[in-house]
Amino acid sequence: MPQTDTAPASGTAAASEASASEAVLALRDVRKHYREGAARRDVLAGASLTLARGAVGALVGRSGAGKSTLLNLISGIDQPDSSEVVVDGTHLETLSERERTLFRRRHVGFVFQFYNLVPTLTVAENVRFLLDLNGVADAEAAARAEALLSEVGLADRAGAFPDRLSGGEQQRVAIARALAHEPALVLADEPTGDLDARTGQQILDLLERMTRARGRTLLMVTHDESTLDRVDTVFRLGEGVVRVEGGGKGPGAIREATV
Amino acid sequence: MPLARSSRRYLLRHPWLTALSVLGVALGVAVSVAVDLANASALRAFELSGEAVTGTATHQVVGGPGGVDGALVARLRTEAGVREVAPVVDGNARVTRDPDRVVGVLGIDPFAEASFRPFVGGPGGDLDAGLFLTVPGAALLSEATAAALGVTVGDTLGLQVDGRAEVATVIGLLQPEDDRSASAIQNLLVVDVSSAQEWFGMARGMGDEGLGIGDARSGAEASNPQSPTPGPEAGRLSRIDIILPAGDEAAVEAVRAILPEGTEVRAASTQADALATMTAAFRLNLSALSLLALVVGLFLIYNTVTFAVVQRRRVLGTYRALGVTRGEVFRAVLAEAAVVGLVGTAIGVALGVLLGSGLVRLVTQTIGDLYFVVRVRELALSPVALGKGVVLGLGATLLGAARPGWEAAAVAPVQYTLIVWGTLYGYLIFGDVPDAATFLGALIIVLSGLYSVHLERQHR
Repeated sequence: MPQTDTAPASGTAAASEASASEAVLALRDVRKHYREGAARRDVLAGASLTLARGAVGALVGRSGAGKSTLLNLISGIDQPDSSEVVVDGTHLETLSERERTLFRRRHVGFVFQFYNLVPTLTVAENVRFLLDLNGVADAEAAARAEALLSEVGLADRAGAFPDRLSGGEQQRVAIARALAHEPALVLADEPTGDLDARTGQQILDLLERMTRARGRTLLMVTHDESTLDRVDTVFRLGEGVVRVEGGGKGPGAIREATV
Repeated sequence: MPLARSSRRYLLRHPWLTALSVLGVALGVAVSVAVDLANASALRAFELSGEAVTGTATHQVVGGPGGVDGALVARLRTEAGVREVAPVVDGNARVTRDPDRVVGVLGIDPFAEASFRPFVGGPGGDLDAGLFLTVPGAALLSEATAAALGVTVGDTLGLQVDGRAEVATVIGLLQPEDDRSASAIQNLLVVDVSSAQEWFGMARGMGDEGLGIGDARSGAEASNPQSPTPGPEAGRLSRIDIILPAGDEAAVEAVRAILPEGTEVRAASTQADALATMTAAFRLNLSALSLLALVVGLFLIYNTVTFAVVQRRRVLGTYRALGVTRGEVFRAVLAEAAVVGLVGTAIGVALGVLLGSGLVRLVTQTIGDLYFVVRVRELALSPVALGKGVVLGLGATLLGAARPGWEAAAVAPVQYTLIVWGTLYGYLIFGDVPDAATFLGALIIVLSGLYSVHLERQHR
């Protein structure tokens, strides 16, 4: 049964208290269960975590540990049984489904494993998708999309449709889309899962660089242990033990653990 | 709005899928509209066919299968004091040059007609009574019918009546007062009553002493030797139309008093009622057929649209994850479906009218085989049928799109509707009535599925 953990971006208890007020993401005692026939399966049984503004965190764990569930709860797609989910100062548990959706539209960026670009929109239109939905003026949306595409190296593909792009290129577009509306929090669900190792590293470099450069907070789900040395905090779910590991020193560098 | 742009491009970038969706809607609408139009046309044909022969008569004197004695015409005038009396012989004939075409033959007395069937004209009107009575087989027909038969005034027209060859001579054209009259006299040949009697084997004896116009009439003019007052109408008649003062029961009784056994007087509306009774079962079948077409159309459209929407779930899911509200996704799906529905409905209605034109011939042919020859075979563009097609096309399209659009994750209820459709389909087409075990099985499946959906929702 997964247990809980509490982790500041810095990885220390003292820093945790200090940074709690600056936290972009704060989960406290998150519980979520599913039913499988008559059986009840508790996926999250009191998980807590905190991620400070501008930090990069990684959520790791075996399949079925609850990583995607946690991501859905953080983004407001799903609702926990009971808990407190605070994103950029907003308590999601107090919002209606529609309000959570609108919150997500304005404050959360998504990078999916399979890119999930809208196939019938051009690259530029995909990038400005949320800008248009958020009512950003046409000229400004176009300028922002153009700048982001230049930054991800796809300025010359602005008019192309996603099916003309390679996997790596599509993920670059997805990164640009996730950052276009300047969200407080970027969630990435296995962003390299569908890419070869080399391209995956390039995508991670780009994602990390662009979010850090903008001072955005990034939480990514990953199975790739080799990516953990670049994050500030690692949240490990599963095996009945949840560990919070300091980033930058490899997966073995456990700084704090609770059972 | 990126959603609208995306939807538009989706439709344009998948022309085959879009075309199939439009075709599905169009076929559904077309089937329903065609059957409805054919039915409406057939029902209208019932009315018009009766109307043409009834005219403005308030009552009719009718007999058994052999008709009524022609001598009654004179007796009705002299003994019962009825002023407006019109002998009628009617039947059907096949056109020699176009054996598939059956025309109605209405035998009338031109001097008695003006009060009954204004389109005939009568002496003093458009009808040239001299020609009508002197030319053998003289016939009047509508301009449209003449054009359809390829004849004009002065031409002859070969007919097959009860296997015998007869010849009609077109001496003039009927002048309908309005469109309804024009439809009523479609494929109708108006001839002198004596010609009709001869053609249909109802003539008896010769001579026209009674009116003093016998010399002018054809040799087929009949009289009844047994009649105390022989006249031009002697012989047998299909019926005698009369006009009596409204509500004058004494006049009806006076008529009834002189009628021989086996002959009766009845209100003209009785014929329409009898017609309605006779064709009630057939009309019920037509209605059932229309309902079946509606169900088939609904089935086609619903499944077409549902398939198209379900196919796009991944994109719809992406929308939701990115922050597009349920309402926005729902409206986008409905708007996309509405475009398909509008185009499909427009094509379907047009296709339905075309299909209906062919179908109405089959339906009227069936009516002819089962009941009586329906001369009116044109398609009546019923606003109700067209409106029903539009409501069906748009309604079923939006209905088909609504469920998957709103509940993208809950596939089960959509699939379960197939059980209902399948059962209904089997019953309507194959007459399969589901037994208790089938109902029980379906119930278990549906309840299990609904419970699964309930659990699924709890888990979210």
